[in-house]
Amino acid sequence: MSEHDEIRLDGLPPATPPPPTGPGLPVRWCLLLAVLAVLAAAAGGGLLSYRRAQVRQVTEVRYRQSAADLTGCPQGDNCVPLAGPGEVLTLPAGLAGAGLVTDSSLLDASSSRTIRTVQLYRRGPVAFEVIAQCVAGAGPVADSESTSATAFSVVRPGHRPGCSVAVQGQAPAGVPLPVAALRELAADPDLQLAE
Amino acid sequence: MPPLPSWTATAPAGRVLLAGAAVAAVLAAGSLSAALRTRPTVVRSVVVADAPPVRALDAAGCPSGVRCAFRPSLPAGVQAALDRHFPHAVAQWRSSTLDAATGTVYQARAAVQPGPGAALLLTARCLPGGTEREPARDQTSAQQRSDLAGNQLALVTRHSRQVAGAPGCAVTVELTAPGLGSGYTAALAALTADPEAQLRP
Repeated sequence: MSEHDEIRLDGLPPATPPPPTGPGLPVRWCLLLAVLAVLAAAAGGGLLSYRRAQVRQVTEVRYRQSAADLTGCPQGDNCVPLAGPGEVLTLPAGLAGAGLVTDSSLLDASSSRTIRTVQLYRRGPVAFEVIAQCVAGAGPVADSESTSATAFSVVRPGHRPGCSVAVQGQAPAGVPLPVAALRELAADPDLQLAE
Repeated sequence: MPPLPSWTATAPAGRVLLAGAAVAAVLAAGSLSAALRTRPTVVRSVVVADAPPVRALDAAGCPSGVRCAFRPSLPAGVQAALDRHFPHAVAQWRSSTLDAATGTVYQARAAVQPGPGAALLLTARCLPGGTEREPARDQTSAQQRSDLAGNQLALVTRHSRQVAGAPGCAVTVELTAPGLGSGYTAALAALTADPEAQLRP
């Protein structure tokens, strides 16, 4: 029975299906739409599984804090000057008889480390300073020397980066500077601040 | 305008295909929408490393990588500030550490005796390229003893004041004086506040 066949029942008004408002969609177009829809569904599914499998690697590099101020005091630490007189150094023979004029020490109270010491000595007209410091996080210090007629400065690196000792001397014009003794003093490993 | 295709006029096979297409379209729309809303999985890892070395002055006041010269004198401004606030002090040390090539002064240090038993040590420093302002500090420490009544008496007091100058620069003055050293407090504050006591970057 085709869809255009009529079924007649006695006593009932004839059933009349509504007439089609337009032509039917050709099957090949239906097939094309179905194929396109299936392709779209497959593409959507593929994209979804790709996005789900996507992994983004984020590597965050955090630096250990190492900043310090000009005095060598690490940022955030409490550094205090020490009131008492510092320990008098054992001086080489070429500087024997020199007296301590003044000194200064800076203590990092947070770590109980001495981070800077300055001692000024005088022997007659010759004065010399011995400075030892450790700056947290600073790079290695290089050996250096500077000499002029009335002044001399030598820097020796310490046991770890950021640490160094400087010995500087000065004398009035015409007075010889004990350069060899100052060099010898600067080379004394005991002058370097402890770890 | 041509009439729209009619469902009832479409062949049954076509209707089945259209129904399948509709289901597939719904699935496509859903999966596309979900895909667009799905964020990639983020794997986060944290690496803790040593910071690059900070730029610093060595013990002689010379920045790393710079050839410095040492002079037994102070920059004029620092000397003037010292003379202004401690006019009767006896000089014991004056030095400058400067760039041998450019003459830029990185450190100036002076030690003077402002009065009997007292010592003042001034250090003005400038780290080239410094961008941060140095912290201000004002600290006092003392060696004390107790008298018979239990009072604390200062034998020696050390005042230390640091005042920031231009970014990367600061002047630090340490005064050691017998007793409380209160006779020097005003001059110490004036010296550290004096802009001439600072080095210029």
